Amino acid sequence: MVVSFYIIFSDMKETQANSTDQPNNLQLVEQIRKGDYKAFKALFENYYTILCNFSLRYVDEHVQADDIVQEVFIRIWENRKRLVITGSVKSYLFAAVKNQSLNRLKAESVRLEHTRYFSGRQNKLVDPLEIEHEEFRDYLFQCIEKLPPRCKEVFLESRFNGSKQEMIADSLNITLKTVKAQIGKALKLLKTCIQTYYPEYF
Amino acid sequence: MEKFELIYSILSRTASSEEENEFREWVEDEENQKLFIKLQRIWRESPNVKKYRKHDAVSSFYRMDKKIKSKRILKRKLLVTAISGIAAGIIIIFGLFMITNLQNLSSPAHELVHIQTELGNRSLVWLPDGSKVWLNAKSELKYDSNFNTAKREVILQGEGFFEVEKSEKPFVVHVNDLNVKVYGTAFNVSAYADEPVIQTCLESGKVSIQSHQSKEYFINPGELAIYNKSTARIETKKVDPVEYSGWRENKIYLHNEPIEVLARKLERQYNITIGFTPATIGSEIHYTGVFGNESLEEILQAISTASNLTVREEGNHYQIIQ
Repeated sequence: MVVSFYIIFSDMKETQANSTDQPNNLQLVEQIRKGDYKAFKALFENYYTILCNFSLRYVDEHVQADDIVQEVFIRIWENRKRLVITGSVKSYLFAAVKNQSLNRLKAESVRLEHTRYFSGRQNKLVDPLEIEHEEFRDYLFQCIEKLPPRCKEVFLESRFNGSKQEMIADSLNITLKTVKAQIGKALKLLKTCIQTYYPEYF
Repeated sequence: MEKFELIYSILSRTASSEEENEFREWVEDEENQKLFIKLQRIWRESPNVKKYRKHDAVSSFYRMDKKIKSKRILKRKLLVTAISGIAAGIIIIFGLFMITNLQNLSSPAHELVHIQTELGNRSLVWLPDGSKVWLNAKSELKYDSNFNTAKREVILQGEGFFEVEKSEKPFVVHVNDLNVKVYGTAFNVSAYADEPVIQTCLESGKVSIQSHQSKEYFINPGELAIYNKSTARIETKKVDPVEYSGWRENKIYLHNEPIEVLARKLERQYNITIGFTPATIGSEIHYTGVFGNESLEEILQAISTASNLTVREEGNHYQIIQ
């Protein structure tokens, strides 16, 4: 399902994207507009982890990411009565988090004299492809977490630390054959797992 | 060899020439090719999620919830302070204006000074004689522009806490059909039109009340005089006067009082409306307690938990349901 959406606060600049949206998101926002705090909480909890991880692509510390995501949601709550929904909630959230993160960086980069680098990159919109990437990574992260311990250990040694087969075999005291078998298994399990999160991709 | 292991060899560039041949053959199939592209993406994206964490949404929401609530309280406080400041400014200007007028003895014209607080707002009024009046929400204070020349008289509607400067000239507060006469003192008068009684509570000094029909009645410090508007009778009881002027510090004291009394206070303080379903519970359910700086939501939460009631928010209206 690909839908074109807008989400606008009547006094804010608009954010646009072509992106899929969970149908219950629109319903949640409609409830938030009416002052439903539970719906607000549900939307927050649905998107908190993915938005924090997304923000951490721009900022370094979890505390900063946490603060940024909270700011975005506080703004939604305080402006709920003027919340006009014609678009994807997801695109709005990603754009708001990205802009807020870049603003932070910009504030800090003044100090670091990197202003010019970032000022040219300020972008109100988030490319739907970027959101798709982020979601893919979110699924991938969740699926890696679910790998059996040994399998996960070998796979992470290979992918996070960039270790070669021989080094993995050496450091974990296993045979080359086992390394290959475990990583092969990891690929298979990851493929099956991501498929359940993201059926339209496979 | 399992094809996933073969793919790993290819992706990690460790494949032997034998494996490469096997792969080339395997990947010719269109389905296999699609699968390979997807596995390749998993392979390439994996290092990018190294720093990813499962972040705790529940505790973050709890912290954000505190921020939202404290922001709202701060906003209200700022508004009250601003209004008080503005009101005080206006009164000082009026005061100065009148002093100059008196000095010039030029203007005999009497004008009525009129101070009014809206729902949800309060203000501090400085009278020309140096007396102070804290006006609670939705209250009105009027006095003649020649106040303090011969006598000190104000007209009050709603609720006010008075700190009266000592003077030879009597200080009189007119509330509907009741006069409160003051002899240098601090006291609270509550005379809202929607309340059946007028309450006068004396903190210190000496005060008397007098309705049209009755004779002057003196109130002692720490005493509350309740004037019933329909029967014109006065009742007194010993109270803690702090509880009756607590509204100046946002405090609400309740002693086994029906929740409709609390509801009317909240309505004035927060500029909201409160309804009851069924309507009778407003007078049937009694509540005892003190509210300090709790938010509106916290107060409603507290009474609903205590009496097993449900509160439904509809914009500025709250319906309390049994």
